[in-house]
This record gives sequence, structure tokens and C-alpha cells, in this order.
Amino acid sequence: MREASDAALVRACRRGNEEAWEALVHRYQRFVHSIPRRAGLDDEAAADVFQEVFVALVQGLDKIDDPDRVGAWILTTAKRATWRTVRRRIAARTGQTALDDEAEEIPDADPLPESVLVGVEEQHEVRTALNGLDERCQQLLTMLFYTQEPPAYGDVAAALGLAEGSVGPIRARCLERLLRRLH
Amino acid sequence: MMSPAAHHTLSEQLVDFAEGRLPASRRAQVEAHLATCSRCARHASALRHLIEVMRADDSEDVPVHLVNRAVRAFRTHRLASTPASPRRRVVADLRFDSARQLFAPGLRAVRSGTRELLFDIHDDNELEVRIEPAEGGWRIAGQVLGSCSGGHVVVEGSAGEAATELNALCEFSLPPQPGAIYKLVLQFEDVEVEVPILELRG
Repeated sequence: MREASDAALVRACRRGNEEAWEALVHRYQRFVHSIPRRAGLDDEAAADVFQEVFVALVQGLDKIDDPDRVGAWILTTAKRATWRTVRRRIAARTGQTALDDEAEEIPDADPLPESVLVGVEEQHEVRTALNGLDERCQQLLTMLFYTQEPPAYGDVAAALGLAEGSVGPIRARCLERLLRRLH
Repeated sequence: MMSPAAHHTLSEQLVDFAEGRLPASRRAQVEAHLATCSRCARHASALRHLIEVMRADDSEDVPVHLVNRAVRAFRTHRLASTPASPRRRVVADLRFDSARQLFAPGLRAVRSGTRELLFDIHDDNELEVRIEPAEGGWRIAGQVLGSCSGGHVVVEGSAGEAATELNALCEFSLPPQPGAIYKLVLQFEDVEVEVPILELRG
């Protein structure tokens, strides 16, 4: 299931395949959660948006016209849920009532500008491609590129049971494979 | 033009180059090659962008309980949509209201602090509901007390709707809703419990 396309997962979910749903949730969980977080929402509000998006997805599975575009559907749903929450918070701060139709609009100062969303989408695509690589490449690239202070090659070699001299070449091959999966 | 073998050797150097690991002298050699080889220049640029995207990704791990709750939503939804197993429908019976306005089933929320309600529901279970002001609206939260193995909670009203799942302790918390009249429904495997009118208003 981990290798299945978005469209295949959506179609399997429609047939009642729970494993496909679990794979879809795991594929998109970080993406969905990062949207309210990028808008500056706290843990509680981000959790609300997260739950709202996945409940909307499970309820709307049969209504998604193009299963290949489920990522775009999720993005739009998460964006709108985030806007509604931001609007409610602004209204609460200013003592106004957040009208329901206003809640569908973009807040005046857009907390999720296009450049931020493009970045979140790119990061999601790269992480999804990374998850399709073998275990060793996943671990190596995660240690080298997804940690705030990447460890020295010696430490990477010790952690993964590799010769220190092989870390550089393996890293290069893993990056090449990752790039190929993205294009 | 470089030979294919030389291009292969360069491939590793391009990764080092994109990562900023090459010493100055070799960097200059690679740059000189990139100036004359558009294919390598595109490849180096793609590698550099890929590395930038990974390094800029500071997204957090999602709390496990949130992911598990989202996973469980599927089972609840599938059960909810299975026509072969129609559910009993039960109207919740109000037993206690901290606002002391016992005009059940029409319930009124008070602005100050949390309002607590207790209902008798099916099979000797109880439903505890808390309503509190949040973000300019009202947050509805609660817990099923008694035998319970998960369920789906929906609030529907003229101003909107929201849904969530009961957690492992059979608790729920819905996103804040604007003041309006709502219906609260809890869907279990074989029974649906309804609070027909829940008025959220100061």
C-alpha cells in the first residue's frame, strides 16, 4: 500500500479497504497538520483542523471527481478549515461575531500565502518520494537532511553499520534515486 | 565534451557541489564544467533545490493519538454507511443541567464559564456534555460514561456542522461553533443517540 498511487488508495478506500485508508492518512498526516501550524495556530487548533480534514475526507471520498487530485482536495479543505479557525480567533480577539459566510473567505492578512503553501506541497512530495526508497536510503537521508544539526559521517556510519568511506557515495546514490522518483 | 565515464565520476561531485561540500579548487572545476554543460547544470540545480527543500522542512511529527483517531474515522464511517445494519435511534434524556434551566430538549448555554449537562442514553450509559466559550463561539466536549468502544460525534446546525471521533476514553471535543441552534448526534455501532436541540447562545 505504501507504494500505491493516491488514486489507487482513494479507489481502494471507496471499496471499503481500511488498509488503504490507513496508508492515505499516514501519507498526508504531516502535510495536513503543517498547514494550520504554518498559519500560526496552536496545538489544540491544529488538532481540530487535522481531525476536521480527515473526517471530511472519509465522508467525501465518493465525491472526489479526480482521485489523482486528492492532494489538492486535502490542501483546499485544510486551508479553508484553517481560515475559519483564524477568523474565529480574530473575531474573538476583537469582540466581533465571526459570520459563517465570512469564515469561508481569506482573512485580511492571509496567514497562508501561496509561497508557503507551495513550500508545504513540495516538502510533502519529497517526503512521499523518500518513503518509497529502501530503508537504508530513508535512514541516511533523514539523518543528513532532516535533522537540525546533521551528524558527522563517522556517526552516520556507526548508526547505520556502514564503513565511514561509503557514506558519501551511498548518500549520492540515494539522492539520485530520490530525484528520479520526483521526475 | 566529457566522456560518459567522466560524467559518472562527476555525478558524485555534483552532489558534493550541491551540498556545498567541495573544496574551493574542485568547486571551481565543477563550475567551469557547468558553464559548458547544460545537462549537468540542470542536474546540479535540481539536486541543490531538492536539498534545500529537505533542509527547510521543519514540520513536526504529528501526535500519534491524532493519527490513530483519523485512522479510526474510516471504520466509524463505513459502519455508519452500512445499510445492512440499521441503528436504533435513541433521544438522550436530560438528567442534570448546571445552568438549571431544565427545559429539555431545548437547552441554553450560559456565557460565563463551563456549562455541564448529563443525559441518560442507551443501555444504562450516560453522556456528559460540557459547553464552554472558545474563540468567539462555543466548544462542545464530553464523554460517554459506561460501556463504549468508540463512535462518531456530529453536531449540525443552521450555522454549520462539525464531526469528530470518540477517543480511547470515549471523550470528544468538537471545534468551536458560532452561537446557533444545533443537533448533537452520537453514532455507535448499533445505536444512534440524539440531543435534538442544543442552543449555543450567550
